[in-house]
Amino acid sequence: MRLMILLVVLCVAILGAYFILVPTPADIAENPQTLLVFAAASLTDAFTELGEAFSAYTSQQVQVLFNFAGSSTLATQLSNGAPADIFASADEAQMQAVIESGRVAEGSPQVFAHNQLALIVPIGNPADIQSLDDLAKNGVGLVLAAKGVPARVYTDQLLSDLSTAIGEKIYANVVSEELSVRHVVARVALNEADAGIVYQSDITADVENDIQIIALPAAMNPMAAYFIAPIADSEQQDLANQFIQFTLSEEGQTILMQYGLLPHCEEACE
Amino acid sequence: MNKRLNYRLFFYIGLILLSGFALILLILPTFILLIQSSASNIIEGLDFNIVLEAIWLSLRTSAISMAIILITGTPLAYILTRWEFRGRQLLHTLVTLPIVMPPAVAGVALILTFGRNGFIGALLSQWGITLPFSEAAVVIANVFVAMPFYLRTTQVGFASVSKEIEDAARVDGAEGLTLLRHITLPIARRGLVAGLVLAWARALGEFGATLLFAGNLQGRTQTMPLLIFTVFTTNIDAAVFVAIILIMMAFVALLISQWLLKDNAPQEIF
Repeated sequence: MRLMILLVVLCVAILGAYFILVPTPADIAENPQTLLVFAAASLTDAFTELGEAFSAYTSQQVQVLFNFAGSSTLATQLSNGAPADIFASADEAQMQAVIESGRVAEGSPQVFAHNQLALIVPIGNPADIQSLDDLAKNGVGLVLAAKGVPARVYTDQLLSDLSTAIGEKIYANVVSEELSVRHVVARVALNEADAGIVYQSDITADVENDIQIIALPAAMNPMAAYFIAPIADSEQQDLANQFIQFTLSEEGQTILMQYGLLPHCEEACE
Repeated sequence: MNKRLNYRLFFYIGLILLSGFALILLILPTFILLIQSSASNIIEGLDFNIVLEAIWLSLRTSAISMAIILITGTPLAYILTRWEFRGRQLLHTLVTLPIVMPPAVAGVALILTFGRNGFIGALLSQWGITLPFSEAAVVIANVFVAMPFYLRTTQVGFASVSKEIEDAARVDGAEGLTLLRHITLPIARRGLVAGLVLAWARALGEFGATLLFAGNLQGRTQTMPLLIFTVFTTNIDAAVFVAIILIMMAFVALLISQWLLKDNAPQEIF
């Protein structure tokens, strides 16, 4: 019995302490120094550094928090009311989905970066892949992003340039469809899959030693456009707009380029 | 007298209030899911072949898993209950561990063991067997997470067979397999079946380890939970629809399991 009472007191104490000590989401939202950014998985490394450099840019202490996932997952979360200040999507379709849900104002999204696809294989290239056509060979285990994920949309574009016969064989070799392009990278880096199609920005320092890149014909490689927009119901419009400006600034673009992304104004800026 | 009545009233109100909170948390989400599904009875853009394939795959793999669990798990449960040896308690804890293991941990553990570079996987690949991304991988993940549920319930079943009955049978000359077949198993049968049904329900809902270890490919490794996860990002109504089917199946399984475990249910001895 004494143990029971002790347990009950302990539970109440823990709950009480929790409510007193841990800030509620409302507190976080009121704190102007926190910015919550929903960003495509392929932006993980670049945006993490952008977030760290943002405080220096605004000359105030800003804590930028990120939710990285496949753009289609983020779009679903946002459409269902997930609190956020900024959405950075890897394609226009997912940004459009969020606009239709009313969370992003029409006309507010801007292109802030581009990206291109890369064909990757594990180090040692177990299936001896030398070109896109080799993906059609018997027994190749190919991992792609799942339907709806922007990387898959671009991948389908890339593969549609091949002959139908080869294309069919390639799709028959798919062994898994991942909901985030970063999971495709992980499969290849772990040597579980023979090949994967990801973005150039996904080949980060972490996996560089575990994978090899197989060159894709430049003319076939689609140009992915990344869109960024403030969330319409965010209470931190100013800070959100500052972050977007920072992303578009020369300093921000330099950071993005360090992580394999292409600048948003490739032609116009010259 | 009055004080005592007050005390009892207070006690009962407290009981009801507290369990009310627990009930809301446990039952409301499922209830909302049911309402949601009936509100959107037309599911647009859902290919029913994909759903059927997922159901068939789920049934197939969980059935094979149950066969493996029955054949290998029953002897293990018997040893864990009946044999006295050092480290039995530790062994019991170790085989129960997958119940509390986070799904991602289970998935990574399976990849590191049975993956292409894994401890056992590397040996297998010399024989030309690759487990990841195969139906076999789904079965392995199922067995890994569901077996502990079977073991726990079955051990209760074996423990319910009193040593005296077994000893009496031994006096009459029953030994080894004969004893097991005619005395122990028939008495423990109810616990065995209940455990099996419980394990089956758990295997049906298996998600994390399957996603990581077996991958996500329609028709081959995309079980019902994986299908729900995949269509969730593109079509929530469809996800809810598949979820309802899965819940119904699990609900029936749990009902059966509980009915079998009920003490006053007809118990056939000998």
